[in-house]
Amino acid sequence: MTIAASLKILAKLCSTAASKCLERKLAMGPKPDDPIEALVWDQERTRLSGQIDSLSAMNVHLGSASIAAALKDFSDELNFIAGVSKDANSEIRKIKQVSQLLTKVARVLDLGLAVIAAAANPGAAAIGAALKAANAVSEASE
Amino acid sequence: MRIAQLAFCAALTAGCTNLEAVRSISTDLTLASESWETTSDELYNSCRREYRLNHQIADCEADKANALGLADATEVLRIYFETLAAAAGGDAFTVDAGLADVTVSVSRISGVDPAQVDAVGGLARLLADIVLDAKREKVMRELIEDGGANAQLVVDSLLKDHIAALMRTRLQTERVQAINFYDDKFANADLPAGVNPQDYCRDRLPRNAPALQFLLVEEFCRHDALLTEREGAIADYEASLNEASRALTELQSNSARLSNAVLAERLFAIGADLRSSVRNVEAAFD
Repeated sequence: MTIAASLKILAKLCSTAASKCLERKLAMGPKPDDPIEALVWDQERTRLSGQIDSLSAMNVHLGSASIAAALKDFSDELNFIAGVSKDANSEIRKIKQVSQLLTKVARVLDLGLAVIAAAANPGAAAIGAALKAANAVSEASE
Repeated sequence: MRIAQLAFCAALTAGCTNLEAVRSISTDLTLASESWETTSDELYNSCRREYRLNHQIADCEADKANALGLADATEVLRIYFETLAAAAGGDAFTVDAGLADVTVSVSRISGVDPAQVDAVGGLARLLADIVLDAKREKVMRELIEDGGANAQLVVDSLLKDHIAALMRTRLQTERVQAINFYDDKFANADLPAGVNPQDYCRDRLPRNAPALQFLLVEEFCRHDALLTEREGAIADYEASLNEASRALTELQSNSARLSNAVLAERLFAIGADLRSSVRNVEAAFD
């Protein structure tokens, strides 16, 4: 059993013990009229109340220690998951590059066609279209 | 021959499509892990509430540090689920803009008829989809096969069996602590001893009871109601962890058949349950 698990069990034990102390305290009923019995009643309530405080504080302390230990226990798994995600993100970026490449290829095709059209029929519109296609290629390669 | 070619292409693409279920469940898991981060603070908040009532608690610094550690751990899971969603989502890898340009370029070639343009565009899209979808599936399979077991271990063993169980115990103890504290205060304010303070929340004090008694009962009942709400939130937190674990089991046992229709149905059903638990967790900690 790991330290984290042992501490968790101890924290639970403190919680159960605190709960039992509270049950006893509430089961004591109203304060007796007899002065001696009333004194004993007061002392017992004070004792149980103090025990509940101690056990609750212990529950907080052990629970915190247990979580700290558990986080340490799982650090290898968490680092591994982080590494797998990082590798996958790198692969995803490569796939995005492939799709971007297809866009660039299409734009180069556009430029080629525009140049051919301008060479066959060199007018202002055709040259303008070729310049526009050239700009698109340069933007795509940025 | 042509029909056979088309059938071959269709078969190729069918295996690579229908990843919507994987993308959908990954998105749900990402949102769930964001809600888990909000529950990380509850241990610290519970400690702070107990600290005010119990002088034997020195401080809550350890829980503050743990809350940060837990937030980091859930952030690792969130990034993992988000990466899976990114790989499963086709939006990031669309080739439609590029293919539209190809189609336009081809249509400008003198003598080309529209049917040929469509054919070229369709074929290019088909080939690109096959290449890109195959790459996406490979990334998803690697993510699930390499990281799925560890992610499930963190969800099951760290968050569910350990953290959620400790949170439940902590809230039970906080309730005991609160009842003990207010029981003493009630006795000091001349309310009858031996009555569980929770009984005062179900009933009401006589109209002529002193103002101090009203204020004490009101304060206790507010604290008690908050604890009931938090216990419900932890139950929903556990439920969302269970759904996440189920989703991870399905993904791992079907990593070779991620586009399977039956898997898709199961993942959508788990996603619906997960969203419901997450909504409750978010509402409780809002």
